[in-house]
Amino acid sequence: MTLRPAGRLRAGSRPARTPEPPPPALGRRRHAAELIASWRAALRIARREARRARGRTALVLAMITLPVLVLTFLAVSYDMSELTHAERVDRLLGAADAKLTWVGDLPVTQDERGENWSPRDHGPVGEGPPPTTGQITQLLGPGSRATETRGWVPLALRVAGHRKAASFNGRVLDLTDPLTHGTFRLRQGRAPVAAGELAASPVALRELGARLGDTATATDGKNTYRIVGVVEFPDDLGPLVALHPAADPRAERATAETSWLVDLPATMDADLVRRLNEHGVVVIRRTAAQEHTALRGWPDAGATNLDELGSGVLVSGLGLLEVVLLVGPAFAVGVRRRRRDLALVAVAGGDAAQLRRVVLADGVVLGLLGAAAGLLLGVVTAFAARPLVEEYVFSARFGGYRCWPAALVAIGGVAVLAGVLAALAPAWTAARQDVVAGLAGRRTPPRNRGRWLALGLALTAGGALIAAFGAARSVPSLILVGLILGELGLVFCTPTLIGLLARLGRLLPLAPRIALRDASRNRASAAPAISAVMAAVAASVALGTYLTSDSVRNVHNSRPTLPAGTAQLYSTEQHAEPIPLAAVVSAAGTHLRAGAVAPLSFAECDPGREPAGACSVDAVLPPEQVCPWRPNDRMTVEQRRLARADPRCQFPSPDFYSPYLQILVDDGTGLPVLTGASPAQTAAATAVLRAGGAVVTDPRYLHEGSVAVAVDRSAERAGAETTDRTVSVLTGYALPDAVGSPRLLLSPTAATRLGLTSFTQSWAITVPAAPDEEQQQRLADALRPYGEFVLDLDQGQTPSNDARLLLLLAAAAGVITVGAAGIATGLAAAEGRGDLSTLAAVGASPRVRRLLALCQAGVIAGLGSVLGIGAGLGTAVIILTSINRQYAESWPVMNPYPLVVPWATLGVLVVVPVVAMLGAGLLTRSRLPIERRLD
Amino acid sequence: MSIRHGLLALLERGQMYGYQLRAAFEESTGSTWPLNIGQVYTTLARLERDGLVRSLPESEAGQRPYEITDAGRADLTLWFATPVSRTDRPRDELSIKLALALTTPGVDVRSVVQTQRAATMRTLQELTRLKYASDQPEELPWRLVLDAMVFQAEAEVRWLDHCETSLVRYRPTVPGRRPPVAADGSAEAVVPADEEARR
Amino acid sequence: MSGADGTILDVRDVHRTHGAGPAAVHALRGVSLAVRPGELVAVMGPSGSGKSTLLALAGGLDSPTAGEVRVDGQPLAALDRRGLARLRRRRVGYIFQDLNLLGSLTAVENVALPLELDGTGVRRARALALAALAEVNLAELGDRFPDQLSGGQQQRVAIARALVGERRLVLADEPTGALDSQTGEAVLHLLRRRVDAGAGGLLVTHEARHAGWADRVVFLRDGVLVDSTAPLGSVEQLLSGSGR
Repeated sequence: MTLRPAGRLRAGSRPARTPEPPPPALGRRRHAAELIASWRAALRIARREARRARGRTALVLAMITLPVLVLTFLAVSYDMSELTHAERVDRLLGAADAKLTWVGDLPVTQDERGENWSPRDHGPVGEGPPPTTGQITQLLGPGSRATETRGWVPLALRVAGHRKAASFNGRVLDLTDPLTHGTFRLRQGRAPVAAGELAASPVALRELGARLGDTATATDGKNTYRIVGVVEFPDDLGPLVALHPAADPRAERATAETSWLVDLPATMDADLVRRLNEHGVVVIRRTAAQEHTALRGWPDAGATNLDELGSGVLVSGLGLLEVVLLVGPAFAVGVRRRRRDLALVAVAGGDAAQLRRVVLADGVVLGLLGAAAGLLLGVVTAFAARPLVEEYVFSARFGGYRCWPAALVAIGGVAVLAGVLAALAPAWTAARQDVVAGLAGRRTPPRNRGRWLALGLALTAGGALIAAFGAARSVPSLILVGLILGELGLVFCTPTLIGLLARLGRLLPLAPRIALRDASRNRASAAPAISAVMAAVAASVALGTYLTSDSVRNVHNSRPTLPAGTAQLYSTEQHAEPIPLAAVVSAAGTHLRAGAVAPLSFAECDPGREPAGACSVDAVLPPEQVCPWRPNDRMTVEQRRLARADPRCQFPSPDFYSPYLQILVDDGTGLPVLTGASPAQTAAATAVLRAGGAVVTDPRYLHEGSVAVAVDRSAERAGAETTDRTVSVLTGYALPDAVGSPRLLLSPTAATRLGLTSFTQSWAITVPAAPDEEQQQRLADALRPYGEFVLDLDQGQTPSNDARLLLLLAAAAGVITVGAAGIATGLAAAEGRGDLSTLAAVGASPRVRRLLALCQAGVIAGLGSVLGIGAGLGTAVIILTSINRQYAESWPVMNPYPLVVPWATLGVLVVVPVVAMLGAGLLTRSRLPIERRLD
Repeated sequence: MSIRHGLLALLERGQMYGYQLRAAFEESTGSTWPLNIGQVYTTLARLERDGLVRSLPESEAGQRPYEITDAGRADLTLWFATPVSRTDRPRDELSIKLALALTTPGVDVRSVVQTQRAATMRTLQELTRLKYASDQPEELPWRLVLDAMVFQAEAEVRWLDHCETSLVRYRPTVPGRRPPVAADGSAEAVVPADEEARR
Repeated sequence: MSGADGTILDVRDVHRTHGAGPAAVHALRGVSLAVRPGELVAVMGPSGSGKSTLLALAGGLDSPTAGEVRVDGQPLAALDRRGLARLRRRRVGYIFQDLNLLGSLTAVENVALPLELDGTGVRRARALALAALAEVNLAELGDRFPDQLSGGQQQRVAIARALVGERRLVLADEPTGALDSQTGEAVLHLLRRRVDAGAGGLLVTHEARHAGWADRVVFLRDGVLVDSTAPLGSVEQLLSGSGR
């Protein structure tokens, strides 16, 4: 350690000794010089120390490097995926001069790049077909050439021998035309040259289960294609097929996008663009506009609202806190091991600030090293992993190899900040240490400072209040502020807690007793490690509890559209010809072993009526049954209380804004299948329907045994819209226990009387068990002659959706737990080498030494987990309760969040400390430490 | 320490006759300094001649007690106040012996040193053992006497150690000529460096 | 269980070499030494003479390159690491110059440490440890932590631990090195008393005054025993002058 600069500084820092005080400017300059020299000395010491304590340096570096690596990887990958305008245009145009896209039969105006366009005037949109390639060439003038490309052509294919069909986006273009070159890459085989050929992307091949040379059949059975090539479109690596223009099914005009790649003899001038716009054609061409990639904004920077940005910053803050807590112990141990060195600096004349600087310099040096390593590794990883990321994450090729300097600088800066923050607390203790004790190599016993405990408790309580307030107001950033404050508070409380626990250690067996007391004596390093585990576990548990609760609540909220054990079959197209019920019944009976099949015949106003106008049918709520308030109204607390008490206003929360009533025509045969009503109710309801009445599932519609049904017909006559409402009163019956969507069932007689017809596009089918995919496929195949069919199995909301996310959260917390425990144990082992030698001399077997390491890890991981689980559950309870309290006064009535313990998460988090302990026990070197003093 | 002052110090406690004085003397010096009764009486006679003690009438048992005079008290006080000077002691036989051994041909100086050290160490052990055996509080004077001898013996052992180390490195340049003293400064300076190297 | 001749520690023609080739350091070159019950043997020699290596070998913290070490008749070479640890728990107590005690344990817990490690019940271990502390006149400070004890008190705790239970061999490496002369004297006095009660002791020191407490003093120089004093007789013999 070089002490010379410190000594020099000391002379300079005492102006009283100089005969004349220097002028202020000179003093300031000297002060700056002093500062620089002092930092230079501190940084030199830190550099040497980093080289001397290799293990500790490696630990700290890993902790800083890892997050930096991940962030850099994400930033660089994102930057590479974001194409510049030129790259985008190149990708679109390939070898062509411009790409023309027909947007509709209307004149438009477009911007320079052709990315935005708008209708030029408010005239009606024409219904004309897209122009032909010939018309386009004509518009472009002599010497020009165009080839038509069309995207978004839906295509369902199947390969013989594979039961499963797959749907693709088809692109229709002539891959052999030189104009299309550059927009795709032919990876295998050749380009399709005839109607019966296609080229597929690798993903499409995989989904089809096909190979080059196989023959695929369209599921409608009309066309077959031979797969002659494997093609890749750089803008979409998903399932795609390229068809030859001759094979264009042409049926899907409405959904298809029609474009032309064109070759021009001259440059495309603004005049020509205007002329093309006149015909509804938008032009994308190469422009001279420059773009500064370095100045590119952050993702979503423009659109983000303040709260989201705040939340992002706060979440990053939590991450930073985590890193600081993980790295902190290493610095604390460093200070402890260098007690004597630091005391010598003090003896040589270093003041408190300079002592602090020596330790802070550790943070700066390691932060810089970690940041540099992380940035380098991150960029290298991102470059190396580019093909994989392109394929599996972005599903598109990147624009090129580049990094994002602005983001990298920011990431690096935060990493250095983390290093400095982690060294902050140790630096403070270093400056306060008793010099005499330090010289003697003695430790200054940790003082139990009530101030920190008080501050910690205050912060915890304050944080909880803020979080609760934020939850009640639904302000995520406020919740996060509360959580961070609360967490900081707990971090401040841990040292005291460890001290208290150590006092109870008297009753424990040897190894845990030593481990607990060690943790208590070395609080400066144990407390941050425990806090790190606690923070990670708390976050995981809190989120886990919230997600579990939310998912259980969703299950409560969701209402099945049909009773359990009933599936719904849809036809995906509308048909002029009704599909015979017998065909559905027989197919369902054969392939699904279905019991009953009930057609869902939706009531409809006479569709053939002229002049065309809107027409709707609805049941009319009796006036005395109408809730006096509407969900969107601004209501006072008192009004809300009244509304909550009003029986007319008790509709379930999912139906707030769309109390949509399904209106079906049924003669009583479909009723039991659709509503799951009891036989007695079914009999009564069927009787009402037979008598020409109507059945409702919501009893509020029933008024003195009858239901009012209104038919509104609007028509445009002489420029004015008029609406005719006919209200008919029908004999009614209510099925209050009915399962499924709210429905109004009209008897056929009533429907006729109201002038309604019905159409059948779906069927309710009772099935003995949920049909598997193969059964569904066979059913669809059997019904193929009538079109495409989809079977909907309404299983309600399943709560398992978040299970993977929960486990992922728990695993992340687990990794941090293991990491923190490992760090703390490693550091404790380094610190307690003397103790280990004593133990060895006294005759502790290798097993005891392993056991000690195991217990040291256990104290960190176990205590952290227990505290974390407590804090996490507490957080969740605070947030959920405050949301529920808000819900308890809201109207329409909202289902409260149930307090559900996420047992899977807790299970993982209980197992993790055990794993950490076993790991520490197994990895500890049980060899006798070579005793220096015995040599 | 002289017997003269020792007896004076004992008489300071009160009057005593010859045999009593001998017993008390041996008791307080732990028999390390055996006195014969003749020595006691000749010393007493000299003390009486110099007026430092006076003899008292004989008792019935025929013993003549002595008591200290004021002059004797003054002499005793002066003695306690004066440090023992190095020159008062007899010449150190051991150092003369070693110096001679070095210059006398055919003498294994190392073995002389080691024999002496073993003997001194042995003395040291014996002294320590005696000290260990006398742990009563009233035996403090005796223990202090022992300690004095312990420290002297220790110093001798250390000196012998030092001699041995110096001898290891001693190479007489011109045989027959008087060698440089083993423990001189230049020789010392070499030793620590060598010691360092061996660690 | 002790050697056929009642020897507690028997070191026979032990060599210990660190490293190999030209860089090899010969710490010990054929040292033989025996310690009997009730005997305190001091090893003297300048630093680097191999004193501490000898001590490490005696407790099985290190193993000789050649030669044999027996503790209570048990050859250490026959023991694996576990066995050596057990030996240190049951038979051998170490006292170092400093850092003898685990900072996280109280005095009585430190003394009870080898017993607890050996599976003795907590209560019995504590009772034995308190008895051992009483032997060194520290019974009333048993619940203090090492931080709260003076250097001399810490060394006394270490002696208590070295001889707690049935342990009969004390290996002390400059136990008074960090203490002032009076305190060091008291510590050695205690050590002597404990040895007189039937234990065997090997005391490494470079101070003749401390070696004076031993029954026998051996001189080690450059890994070789060069000299030793004959065993000492009893106090009575010494006083009567026939011990000489």
